[in-house]
Amino acid sequence: MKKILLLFLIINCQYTIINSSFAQNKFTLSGYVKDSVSGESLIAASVFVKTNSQGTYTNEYGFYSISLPAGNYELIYSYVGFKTISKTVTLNADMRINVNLPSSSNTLKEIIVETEKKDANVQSSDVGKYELQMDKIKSLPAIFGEVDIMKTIQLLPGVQGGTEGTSGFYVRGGGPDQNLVLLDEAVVYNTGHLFGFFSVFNADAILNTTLYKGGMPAEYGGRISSVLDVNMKEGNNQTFHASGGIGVIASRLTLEGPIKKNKSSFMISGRRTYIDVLLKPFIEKSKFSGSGYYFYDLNAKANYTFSDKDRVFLSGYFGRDVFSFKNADINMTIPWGNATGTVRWNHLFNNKLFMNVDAIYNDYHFELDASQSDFDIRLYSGIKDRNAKIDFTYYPHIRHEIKFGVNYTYHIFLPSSVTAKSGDVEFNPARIERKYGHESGLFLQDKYTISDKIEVNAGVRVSMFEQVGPYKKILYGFTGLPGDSIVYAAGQHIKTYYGFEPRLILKVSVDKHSSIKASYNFSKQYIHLVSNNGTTLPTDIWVPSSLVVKPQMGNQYSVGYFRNFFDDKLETSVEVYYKTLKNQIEFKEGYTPTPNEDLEESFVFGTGDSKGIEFYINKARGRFTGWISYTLAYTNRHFPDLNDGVSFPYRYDRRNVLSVVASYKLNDRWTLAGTFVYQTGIAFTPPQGKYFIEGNVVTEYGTINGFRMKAYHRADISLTFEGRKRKFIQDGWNFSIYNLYNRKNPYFIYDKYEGQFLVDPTITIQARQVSLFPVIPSVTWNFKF
Amino acid sequence: MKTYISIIQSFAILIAFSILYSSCEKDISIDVPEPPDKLVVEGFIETGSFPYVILTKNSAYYSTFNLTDINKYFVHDAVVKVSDGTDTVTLQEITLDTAGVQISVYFSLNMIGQEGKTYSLHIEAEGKTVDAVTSILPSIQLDSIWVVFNEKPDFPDKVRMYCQLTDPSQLGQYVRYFTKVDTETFKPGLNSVFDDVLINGTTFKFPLDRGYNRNDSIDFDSYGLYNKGDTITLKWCNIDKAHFDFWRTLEFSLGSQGNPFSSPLEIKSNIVGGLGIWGGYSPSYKTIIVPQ
Repeated sequence: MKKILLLFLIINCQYTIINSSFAQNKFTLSGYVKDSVSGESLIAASVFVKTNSQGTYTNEYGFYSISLPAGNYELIYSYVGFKTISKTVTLNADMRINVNLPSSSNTLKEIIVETEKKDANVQSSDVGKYELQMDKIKSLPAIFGEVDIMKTIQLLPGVQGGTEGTSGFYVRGGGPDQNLVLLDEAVVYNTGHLFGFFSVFNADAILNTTLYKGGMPAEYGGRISSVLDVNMKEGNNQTFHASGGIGVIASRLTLEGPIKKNKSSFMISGRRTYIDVLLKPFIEKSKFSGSGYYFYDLNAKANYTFSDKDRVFLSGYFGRDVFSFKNADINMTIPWGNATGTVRWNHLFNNKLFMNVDAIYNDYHFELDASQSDFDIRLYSGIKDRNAKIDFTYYPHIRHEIKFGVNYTYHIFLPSSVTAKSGDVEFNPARIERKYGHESGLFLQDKYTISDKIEVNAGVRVSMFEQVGPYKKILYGFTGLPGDSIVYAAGQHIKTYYGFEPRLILKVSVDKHSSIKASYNFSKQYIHLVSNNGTTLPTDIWVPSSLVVKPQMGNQYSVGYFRNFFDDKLETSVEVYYKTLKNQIEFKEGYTPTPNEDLEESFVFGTGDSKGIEFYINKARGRFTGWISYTLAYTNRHFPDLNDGVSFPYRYDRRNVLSVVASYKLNDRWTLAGTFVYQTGIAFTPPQGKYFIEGNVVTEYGTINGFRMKAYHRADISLTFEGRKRKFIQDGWNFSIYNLYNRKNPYFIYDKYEGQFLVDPTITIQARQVSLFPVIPSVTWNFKF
Repeated sequence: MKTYISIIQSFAILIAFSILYSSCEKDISIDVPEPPDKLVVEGFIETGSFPYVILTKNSAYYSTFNLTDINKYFVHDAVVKVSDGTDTVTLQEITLDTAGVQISVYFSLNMIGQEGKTYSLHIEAEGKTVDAVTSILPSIQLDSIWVVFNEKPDFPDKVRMYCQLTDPSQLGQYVRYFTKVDTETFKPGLNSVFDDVLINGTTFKFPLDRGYNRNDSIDFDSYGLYNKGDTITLKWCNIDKAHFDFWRTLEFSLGSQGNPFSSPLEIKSNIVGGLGIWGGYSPSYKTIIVPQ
C-alpha cells in the first residue's frame, strides 16, 4: 500500500512537471481575496472559472492561483456572508487579480455551516471537513450566553462532548489528547477554562475554524484523531473599531484598526469573568474571605503587508485561570493556562509558488502554591514547545494543488513536581526528571483533479520523534523500587521513533449532485496525555514517547455517499468509518497519584477500535437553516493488564448521538435559533461488591465501563436581536435558555452511606445521581463602534 | 451602559444562587449483578504477638444492612494455617460479642511474631482456598516526637505532633502508623502509610496527624490535632511493599469515595484467590504527655 502510494506520488509529480513545462500557452491567474470593509484575508473563498466549470479556493492567507490556457474567462469570486463578484478577464499573460468582496450584511445571513460553492460538499475531495463561521455560531444558544466554538463542534456528526457542559471533544472514538488544536498554528495543549466548562477560544477574536475528523491532510501531523485549526482575526486595516459585550459571567472587549491604512492592522481582544467580583461581598463576610475564581484571555494580532509578495503576521494568546482558597490556616493559589506566540511570514515567489514560514512558541503551565503555618508547598507541571515550520503551496496546473513542507518542534515536558519548604528547610527532591524531545515532520501532498468526475488528494508525511537528554533514566527492579540509573547528557540521544504516514482521499462524482468519497489515514502521535480522572483536568500531564512509552498509531478508513437535493439547498451525506488505534495508554490497576513520580512507570498499554455510521442533513441556505446529524458508533479498548484482559467500552463510547440545530431569521433584526441533543448515557464502572476492613466499607468494582448512566438529552433556544445602526454604535442582545425543559441529566453518580458502621445499627448504601445544570436563562448585550 | 451592567449583574447573581440551590440530586437504582463470592482476609502478625485472622466474605454493594446482617458476613469453621517456614500452626476460631456483633476471630497462641521472619497463610473455607505471604521487617525507630502549640489560632487548646526520622540509606522502607490517646485503642491515620522514595536516607521533620476511626464523625476544623493534657502514644510500624500497597490503595479509595472525578480503584491485595490483607508489623513506640 505504502509503496503504491509513493509510486503514485512520484508519477504524479513527474506528470505535473512535464505537463507544466510543455504547457507553454498556459498562464497563471493569482491574487488575494479580502473583505472590502476590513481588509482582512478571506480564507477558503471560492474562485470559480465559469467558462470551463473549474475552480479553486483561497488558502489560509487568502491567496489563490489558477493556471489556464490563454483565452477569455468569466471568474466568480464568492464567500459566505459576502456579495459574489464576477470578473471577465482576457488571459494572455500571467495576471494578478486581487479582489475585495463587499459584505452582504444587509441581506439575509444565511448559513450556519457554509460550503462556499453551492455543491462544494459533493464535488470537493474534502471529506470529514467542516468550516465554521463565527458570526453564524454567535446566533446559536450558548450556556450563560458565552459563545463557544467547541460546543458547536460537538454538534457535528462523529464528534461528541464529554461530560455535561464541558468543551472537550472526542472524535470518532478518539481520546481527548488525539485532537490537534491549533490557534494561529500554535498548539493549544489545554483548551478549557474552569475545568473545561468554557473553551479558551474567545469568540470575538476568532475569524474562522476548521475541523478535520477524517481525511486529515498530510500537512497536519502529530495527532491521530482530528485537527481543529482556529485562526484569529487579522484586524481591520481601513478604519478603527471597537466591539464587545457584557454577559452574565464574563465581559469582552475587542479593538481593531489600521496601523498604516491598507498596509498594516492590529487586533487585540480580551475577556474576563467576574463571578469573583460579583460574589466578593458574600465571601468577604465568610471565613473564606479572599477566596475566589476567575479566568481571562488576551488575544492579539498584527500584520504588515510589505508588498504584494511579502506579508508578516504576529499573533499571540495568553490566558489564565486563577483559583484561590483562603481560610484561617490555609492560603492556596492555583493559576494555570496557555500562552502562545506566532510569527508568520508569507512570501510569494511567483504566481504559482506560495511560501509560509512560522516560528511558534507555546507554553502550558499549571501551578499550585499553598502555605499552612510555616509549611509551603509548590506543585507545578506543564509543557513548552518551540516550533518552526516552512510550507509551500505550488499551483502548477489548474488540476493540481501541491503542498509540501517541513515542521520541527522542540518539546520540554515538565512532569508534576513538588518543592516544599518547612521553615528554613527546603525539600527539593531531584528524582523527577524533565523530558526533552525533538519532533519533526516532512510532508508532500497533491490535490489532483484527474477528470471532471475523479479527484484525488494524496499525501504522505514522514514523522520522527527523538527523546534526548539531559535525562536520568531510573531503572526499576522486579520489586518495583527505583534502583540504578542511566544518565544522559544534554542533547544525547535516548530513543528515536519514526513513521511513514500515508493519507489518501478519493472522490468519484456520480452526477452533478452526488458523489462517493473514500479515505484512508495513517498517523502517529508521539506525545500523550493520560488522565486518571473521569474528565480532563488542568492537572493532567503530557508525556513524550520514550524508552517505555511507544507512539500511538491510528488507522482510519472511511467511505461516504454525498448527495444534494433541491438545487443544492439540502446537503446530505452518509459516512461509515472504521478506526484502529495502537499503543493506547491507561494507568495500571491500583494506581494512586503521588507527587514526583515518573508517570510512565504507572502506565499500561493497549489497543482500541471504533466503527460507526454518520448521517448528516444540512439546510445551508434560506431563512431557515440548520442541520441534523445522527451517529451510531461502537468504540472499545483492549488492555491485557486491565479488566482481566477483556475488551471494554471506551469511556466516551456512545451508541446513539443525535444533534439538531436550527436557526430561523424572523426578519433583518431578529433570529430565533435552537439546538437539541440526544446521547446514549456515558459509560462508567459501577461498584459491584463490598467488604469490610478495619470496620470500613470497601468497594469492589465491576467490569470497566460496564454500565451506562441514563441517556443525556437537552434542548436550548436563543433569540438574537440586532439593534439599528446608529451614528456611532450598533448594539444587540442575545437571550438564551439552556436546558429548556429542565432535564435532569446525569452528571455523576455517587454512593451515599446512610448510618455509620458500628454506630448506627442500620446502614444503607444508595446510588445517587447528581445533575448539574438546570434550566439556565442568560442575556448578553453586545456592541460595535 | 451602566444600566445594562447592573441589569446583567443582578441577573448573574440570581443565576449563581439558583444553580447553587437547584443542583439536583436523586436516588437511582443501578441493577448490578451480584459479585462472585470471595473470601476476605484481615489477618496480621506483629513482633511479640500472636497471629490472628478475621475471615469474612464480600456481598452485593447496594444494599441495606444492620448489625445482625453483619454477622452473616463472618466465615466460620475455616481451616486457617500460618507457617514461618519451620513451624506451622492451625488457628482456632473464637467468637467475641462486641455490641451485638458476633466477631469471629481465628488465632493461635502457639506462634509469636519475630522480626526478620516470613509468614505464610493458608485458608480453606466454603470450598475456597486462599494463600498469602508477609514479612515482619526490622523495625525503624523515630528519632523523637514533640508537640507544637498554637498552630491554629482558632483552637488555642489544640496541639500538633511533629516527628523526626532518620531514614535508612537503603531505599524501600514502608511504614504504617497508629496513634493512641490516653487509654483509647490505637487508630491509624487517615493516610497511615508512607514510603521513603522522596526522603530516602535523609533526616527530616514532619507533622503527623492524629489517627481516627473513619466511622466516627471527624471535626475537620481541628483535624489531626491533640488536646493539652493528652498522653499520646505513637506506634510506628515497618511493613513490606505488598502490605504498603494494600493500605495505599485502600485509603486512597476510601478518601475518594463520593468524588465524581475519581476513577474506580482496584485495591491491591496480597491474598491470592481472595481479597484483603495478610500483613506483618514491626512496631516501635514513642510516648509524649502534652503539658496542660
